[in-house]
Formats: sequence, C-alpha cells, structure tokens
Amino acid sequence: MNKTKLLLGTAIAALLLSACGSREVAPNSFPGAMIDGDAVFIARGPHLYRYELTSGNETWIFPTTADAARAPMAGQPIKVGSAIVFGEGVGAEGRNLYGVDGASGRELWRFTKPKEWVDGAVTDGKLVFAPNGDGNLYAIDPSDNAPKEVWSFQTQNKLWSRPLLANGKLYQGGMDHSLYVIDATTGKQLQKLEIAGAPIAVQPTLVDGVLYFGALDSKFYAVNAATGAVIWTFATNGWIWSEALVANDKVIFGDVKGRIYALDAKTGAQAWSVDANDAIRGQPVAKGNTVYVTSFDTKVYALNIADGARVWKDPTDLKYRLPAKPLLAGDKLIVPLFDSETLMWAVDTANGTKGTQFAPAAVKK
Amino acid sequence: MGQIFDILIVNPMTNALLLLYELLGRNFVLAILALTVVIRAITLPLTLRQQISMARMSSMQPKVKEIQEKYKGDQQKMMAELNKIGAGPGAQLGGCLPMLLQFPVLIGLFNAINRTLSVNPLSLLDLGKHIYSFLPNLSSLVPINSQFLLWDLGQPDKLYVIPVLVVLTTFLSNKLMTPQSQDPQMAQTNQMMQWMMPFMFGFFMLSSPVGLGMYWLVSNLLGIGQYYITKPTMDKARAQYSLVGATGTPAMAGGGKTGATRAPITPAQLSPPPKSKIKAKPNLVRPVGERKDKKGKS
Repeated sequence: MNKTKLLLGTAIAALLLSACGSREVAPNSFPGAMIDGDAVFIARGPHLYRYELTSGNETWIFPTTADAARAPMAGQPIKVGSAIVFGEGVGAEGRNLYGVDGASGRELWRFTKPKEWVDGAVTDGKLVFAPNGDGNLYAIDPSDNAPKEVWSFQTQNKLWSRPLLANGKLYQGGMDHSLYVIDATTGKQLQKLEIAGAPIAVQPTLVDGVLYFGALDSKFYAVNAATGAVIWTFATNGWIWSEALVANDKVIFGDVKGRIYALDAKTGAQAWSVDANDAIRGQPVAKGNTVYVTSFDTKVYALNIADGARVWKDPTDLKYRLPAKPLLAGDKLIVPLFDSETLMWAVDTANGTKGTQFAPAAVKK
Repeated sequence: MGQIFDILIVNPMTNALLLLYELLGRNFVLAILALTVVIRAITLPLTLRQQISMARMSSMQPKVKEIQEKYKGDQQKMMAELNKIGAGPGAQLGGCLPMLLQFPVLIGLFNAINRTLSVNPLSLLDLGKHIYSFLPNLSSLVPINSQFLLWDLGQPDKLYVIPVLVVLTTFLSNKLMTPQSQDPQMAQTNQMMQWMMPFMFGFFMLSSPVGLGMYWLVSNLLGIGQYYITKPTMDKARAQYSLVGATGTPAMAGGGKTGATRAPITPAQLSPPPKSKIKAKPNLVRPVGERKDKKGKS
C-alpha cells in the first residue's frame, strides 16, 4: 500500500469516526409545536420557526443563523405575554430557555442552566415552570424581560417531561420513577407518589380528579389526584412515552412498540387496540368521534374512538418520523416531522390528504 | 440488513449490558468491563487465528516478493507459486476473515453501549424498543447511573484523560500485536499505522461519550494482557512459519518440520506449551532473510 493512500485512508476514517461521535448535529430531542392565532411555531433542530398557518409561509426563524455548537431546540413552545418560551435540548453545555417576541422573533430573555430543557415548560400566565435535565423544576419570573428564579424543586434524576399545572399544583413526573405533587406558589412538595417502577417521561393528564399517565415500566396508571391512590393499572406491550388523551370516556395513548390503546376511563378495561409499525410518542388529539395518532412509522392514523376502526381508507404517510403531538386547526391537522427539511404538513381531518407544507421556500414543491 | 444486525448482535449485547449492570451493583463501568471480557473470550479463537495469520504472512513476505518479481509477466504461474507456499489470494483473504468477523462484534458493542447510556430522549426511546420483555425489571434500571469517578459516562471527557489513555494503550497494543516485517515497505506501513491509529482513535474519543472510551481502554488492556498470555504460542507459530523462507514450502504443524501431508497449524493446536519447550529452538526465530543469506553463502 502506498504511503499517500494510507494517509488519505486514515484521514477519511478519522473524519468518519469523528462524525459518528458528534452528538450535536443529529436530532436527539423531540420537537414541539404550538398555534397562536394565525401563526404556528415549531421548536426543532437549530431554530424556533414561525409560519403563517394558512399559507405556510415562513415569517421568521430564531436564531437567524444556525450554530453547530448550540443544542437542538426541543419541546412544545408556550406563550407567556408576548413571548414564545422554549428551550434547548441535549447538546452543548450551557443550555438556554428562551423568551422570544412572537411577532418579531427578537430575543427578549434567556435563562441558562447547565443541562437540557427537553420538554418545554408550562405557565400560569405569570410564572414559567420549566423542568431541567439537572433534576430541578424551576419557577421563573420573566417580568421586565429579566428572568428571575423564584424557586426550584430538586428531584433525584433528570426531568424530561413538562409538569401538569392544575388547581395551583404541579404534577411532575420524574426519571427517578416518582410523580411529585408540588405547590406552584411555594415550590414545596405536597406529595411524592412512588407508584411506577420506571421513569415517568410524560405530562400527566387530569380529568375529573383522576390523573392518567404511563411510564417506562410498560404500565398505564389512573391515580386519584387528591389522595394519590391508584384506581387501576393497565399493562402494555412496551414503554409508554405518549401523553394520554381522554375523550368520549376513553383513555387513548400509544407505546414505543407501536400499539395504540383505548381503555375505559373508569375501569381501565381495554376497549380496543390498533398496531402501528413503530413508536407512538405524540399525544393523540380528538375531533368529534375521531382520534388522530401520529407514529414514528411516518404515518398519521385517524381512528374511530368507539371501536378503533379506520376513518380514512389508509393512514396518511408523511415519509418521515412523526415524534410530536399534532395540532388541530379547524379542519386541518398540523403534524410536526422529524429528520426532514419540511417541518410540518397540514393534513385534512376528513380524508387525510396533505395540504399546506411548512418548509423553507427552497424546499417547497 | 440493519434490523437483522440489531436482532442478532446489538439487542443481545444491549440486554446483556443492562443485566450485568444490575448484577454488578449498578456500576456501568463494571458492566462494560465484564461484557468486554466475555466478548474477548468468545472471539479469542478468531483473534489467535488472525495473529497467527499475520505472523505467517509477515514471515513469508520476502519469499512472496521474490515470486512476484520472478513471475512478473506470468500471472498464472505467479498465482500457482504463491498458492504453493500458502500465500495465494485465498490464504490472504483467509487471514483477513477472522478480523472481518470481529468487526460486527465491535460495532455491535459500540452501538449497545451508546444505546444503553441513552444520553438523549431519542436514544432512550430507541432503548425502549429493544429491551427484552421476558427479562424482568430491566426497565427499572433506566436511566442508568452514568456517573463514574470524575466522569459522566454519557458525555465527552473534558479532562482529556480517557482520550490520552486510549492513545497510549492503542499504541502499546498495536506495537505488541504487529509482527515485525522483513519487507522494508511493509515495515514502514506497519510503523505508520502504529502511530496513526492511536491518534485516530484518540481524536474520535474527544467527541465520544466517556463510556465508549472506557470500553476501548478496557479492550486494549485486555488485548495487551492476552498478548502476554499467548506470547509463547505466537512465538511458536512465528518460529514454525519462518521456515517457509528457507524451504519455499508451506510450514505445517509439527515443531517446525515441513510436509505436504500435515494440516496447517490452528489456534487449537497452539495451546501454550510448557516453558521448557518455549526456550528451545532459538534458531527457529531467526529472521528469514538472515537464514537465506547464510544458505546462499554455504
């Protein structure tokens, strides 16, 4: 072998190996989207994007230039005053939770901690409650665009899911297998429920005083929110990383092995199940008697809530993994995508046909 | 293809890592160490076969060059002569095969460690798809405790200790394993590889999770240990094959004697001999070229 070829080969191998080792370019945290009036926002990859809901035209992106050293944006954005609040997922050190002006895309504030903000935040309109990979739930007051930490609540492991805020209490699932009930004003622990045998990576759903949530122990739980008593449990095929939807007296969710379940909300008895071909991660959404579920198998499923029968002839294939909750906008379903240059597709809720494409102009067909 | 690789290689390794993590006091470094030992033990026959093959091909180089020079214009004759001494393309491929067979194992282990560490939500979700449901309580182990001494096993080493140790151990390991070649061009190539490979892996480790660096480090240290344990065996093999240059006949098992009816030497036959036997026959490890010279003079 001659020396030049060897050197060249080694250099190429080194480059390939270093590319394998880089964990900042590839998407690694789940994106999230929100609708505000005639705008739709999506936190994905290096930016937060604002699109016009009807035309699919891009209004602005934040930051304006992609920075390879920055962690990918992740989680569902929320609106607090005029600011759109979202965070950076797993990646570079020094991760920020941002407040960006919803109209102009100008940065209003940032709140920095060493670990990731994987699943966004929730708000009571004044404070922002944001879980961090350092295991703390932070209450932040962003008044005057000068964010101040009001309190923090420490858990035993990472926090990779948003809390649920209801009746002045925060219900926070932890990777330490616990579900915490925290006073939203003081940050004091009210209850610690050690029910699940594995991490709780979802925001619980609260309906009629019952908390519904799944865990990575492949079990789904219905818990009395006041007492913490388990009402029923249901064993699934795989880990549960999708938030539950309660509609028409049924609890609907999916697991990472790709099965969609509908359970009786009162008893936990299985009403029906449908198999997709890959993980279900986004929370299902319902319109009338139809539930819409997105899957990592790249398809959108429209199913009858009563019996799980297909509403559309075939699931709509969007060709890329679908890792986040879809959004309902009238007769359209806005579906966030992973991996692709197209960020979202609008899908007709009646027949599943693709409509508006949310993508940079150069990508649109 | 990727799915088959996952089912056959990565998934069993991932679940084994989790099981070992549970059995070894939830210490992920110990789990990596244990699995690396197991895999090294399983692939030991292949490793030995590869080393024997390297030693053999290295010893044959002068003779191979001689044949290539002599039959430059007659490919058919050249192949026939190379085959006659056991250095034809088939034999060379056979030498590479054990190494090629080990690659899927290494890549599988690399993926299994990365998946089990689950440094981000996407990789944790991926782990969830591949945990065996028939092994109880594996899900309760996640997220695994990635803290070890000064390091977070899921993050690159900001102290650069692991990349430096990887460079040093890879260099030492390569230096020990690579047989000395009589062919100047091959010797130069070997030397360049000895220097470049460690730095290439060190460079890779700068951006890789510490857990992977730990695996590489453990694997190198085990390789070095294995070298000293199997050294007598390899010396014996080298000694036997070095006769080729003198005789022009493929070396066969049986104390350096040659004979067409004998079977080629195998790792199984090369169990470490008693020390008394190793020190015998020092003349057999003389460089081929030296013997040839002496033969030429006589």
